[in-house]
Amino acid sequence: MKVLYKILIFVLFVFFYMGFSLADEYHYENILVGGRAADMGGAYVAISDDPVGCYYNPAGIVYSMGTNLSVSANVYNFSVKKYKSVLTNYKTGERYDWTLFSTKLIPNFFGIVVPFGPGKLGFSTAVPDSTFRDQHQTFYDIKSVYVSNPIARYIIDIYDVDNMYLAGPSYALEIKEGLAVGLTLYGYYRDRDIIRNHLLTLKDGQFEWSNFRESFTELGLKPILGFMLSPLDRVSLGLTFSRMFTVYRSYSSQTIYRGPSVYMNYGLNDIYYEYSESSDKEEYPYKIAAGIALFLSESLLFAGDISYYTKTDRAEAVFNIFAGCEVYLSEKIAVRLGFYTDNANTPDVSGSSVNQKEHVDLYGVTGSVSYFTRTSGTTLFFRYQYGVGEAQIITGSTAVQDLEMQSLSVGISTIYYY
Amino acid sequence: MKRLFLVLVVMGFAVFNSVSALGSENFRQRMHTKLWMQRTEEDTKAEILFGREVAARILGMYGLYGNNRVLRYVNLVGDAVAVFSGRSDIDFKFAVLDTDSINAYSAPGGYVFVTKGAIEVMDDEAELAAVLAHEIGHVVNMDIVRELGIKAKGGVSAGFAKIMGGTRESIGVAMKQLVDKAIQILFETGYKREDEFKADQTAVVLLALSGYDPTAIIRYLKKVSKISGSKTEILDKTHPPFEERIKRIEIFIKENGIATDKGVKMKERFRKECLKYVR
Repeated sequence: MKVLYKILIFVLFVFFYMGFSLADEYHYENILVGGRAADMGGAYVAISDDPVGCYYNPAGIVYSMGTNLSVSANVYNFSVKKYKSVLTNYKTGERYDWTLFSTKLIPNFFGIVVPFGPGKLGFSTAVPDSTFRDQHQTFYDIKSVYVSNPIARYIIDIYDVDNMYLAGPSYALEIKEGLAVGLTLYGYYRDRDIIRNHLLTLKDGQFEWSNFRESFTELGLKPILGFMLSPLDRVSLGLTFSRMFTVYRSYSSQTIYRGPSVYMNYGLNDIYYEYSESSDKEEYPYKIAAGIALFLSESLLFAGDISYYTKTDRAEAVFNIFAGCEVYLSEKIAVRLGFYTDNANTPDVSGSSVNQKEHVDLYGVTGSVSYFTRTSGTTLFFRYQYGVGEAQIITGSTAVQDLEMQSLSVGISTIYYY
Repeated sequence: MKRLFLVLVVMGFAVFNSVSALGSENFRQRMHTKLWMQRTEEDTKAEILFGREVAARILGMYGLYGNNRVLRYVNLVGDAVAVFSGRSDIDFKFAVLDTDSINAYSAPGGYVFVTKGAIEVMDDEAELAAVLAHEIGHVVNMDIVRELGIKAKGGVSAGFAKIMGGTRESIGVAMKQLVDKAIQILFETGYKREDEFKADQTAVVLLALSGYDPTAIIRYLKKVSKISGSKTEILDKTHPPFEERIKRIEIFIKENGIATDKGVKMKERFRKECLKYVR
């Protein structure tokens, strides 16, 4: 791979978007999970009194009313990553952005809680991360490092699929009045496939073609231990500890490259080929989350959380904050607003190094309106996330690009009581 | 890092456990649950059907005390209190269980039981009315109904009528599980503490409205608190401590200005119509 990088940078002005730089891995709150919880900006550690509590703080499900079923679905998620001014038209000097789009219909959460023994038993599934990109782009008359031989046409094809699924049981117990403890044991499955294909045609007719494919499958466990305390009337405190443990990982990557004969001293049929496999397990960070909720009345609720992810070999430590409120306009209608941060787990990008991971701190707002009947609640929601940062997408170059990220989810969630 | 994480977990639990929990869990209830509390005729039918199953289970455990005169008397006292309950949609039914254990039970739909052992401890009709009023309070406040979510779904024909008929095995199993859960509440885990305190308050109000001495429940609890052993085993594990209950009732009476010198006790009638047969 190092040889390939050297070849690329010496020959042509290209950028090669490597699979491991998917932004999903650089943030921990890519998709807020659940209905009410996500509508309140994810500030749910001290609330969690419904099936979504299995994900945020399993201790809270002991306070869920009776037996209830919750189903939440993100109807539509649209995400954009824009690397600004990364290409230049050699004729006009116009700068082009390079944009990646992801669109996905995601069944975000499903959960159920039932009384069981002295406590409550839950089962839930969640999709906290999901990406799908399938795009074809063509750029013309691009400036290259060789002024006399610019790029006449540059074709980029991207196919990215990355999904993470969690599923598992939860159990919560009130060990004394106002103090509860709960445990969720999620099994997780992650599956990723990345295919990048690019074809450069130089002005003199020569071409460069490369195809990169990466795939991995990961299985593991994610236990979540939670506590919930009501020290004062109308006040709830929550605390959780969690981590993902990889049990199985299968990784493979393949690179096929064919460069222009003149620059590469290739024979007409020379192809560079590299394949690698690995079963090394990923090290994930520990997560600690704490929250407070103020149930000021049956119609007004405020909540705030803070989470901390520890440092790993591949990621920096990260703090995030979450805040939300819920207001009932009547017995049948409630509105919610939330705010949260989704900070990058990468260091700041500096102009003195190469091949650095991109760094974008994201900020999100959420909102919803719910309509209740005797046995159900239906919610329309939106979740918007935005951030600007920096990236280095040109392999081997110290050049830094501005990066803008946005994500919008709109959908419907439901809850059913029985 | 693993060690630090574990230390943080233990510390977190220790901190949480050391702080006294004072909040009542009802503060979590949101406004839309009022809709859930709105009852329809179908809901009441479902409540009665379910309560009948729970009542049958209770009777199966202890058996009915066979003295018809005592049963009639207990029903008269119970009806005198229940008329002020506000639940005109159900017919309260009272019975005496043939057991020496000291306790009382209620099932949704208005089924109220008092044990022979409890009656033996009483001195007057007001104390009997107090115990029945406490159980009526659980029915009126729908404590089991709320906890287990007992309500009609799409009409009784789609709900408990099918369950009763056992037309589908899965529904029959679900019904049995709900009844099991209700029995567990009554005999093992008990109601939520706040539900017990609220039932005590309801009892005081019902006693006052029906003309009985509202402090009868305090007198009864004080007597029972001095008894220990197998007779009070279930009562002790399913209810909050007597001292706390008595204290809260006294505060409730004082804060609400409930007169304590005007209610009747009916000691002589109680002994003549009930106690002399039971002891």
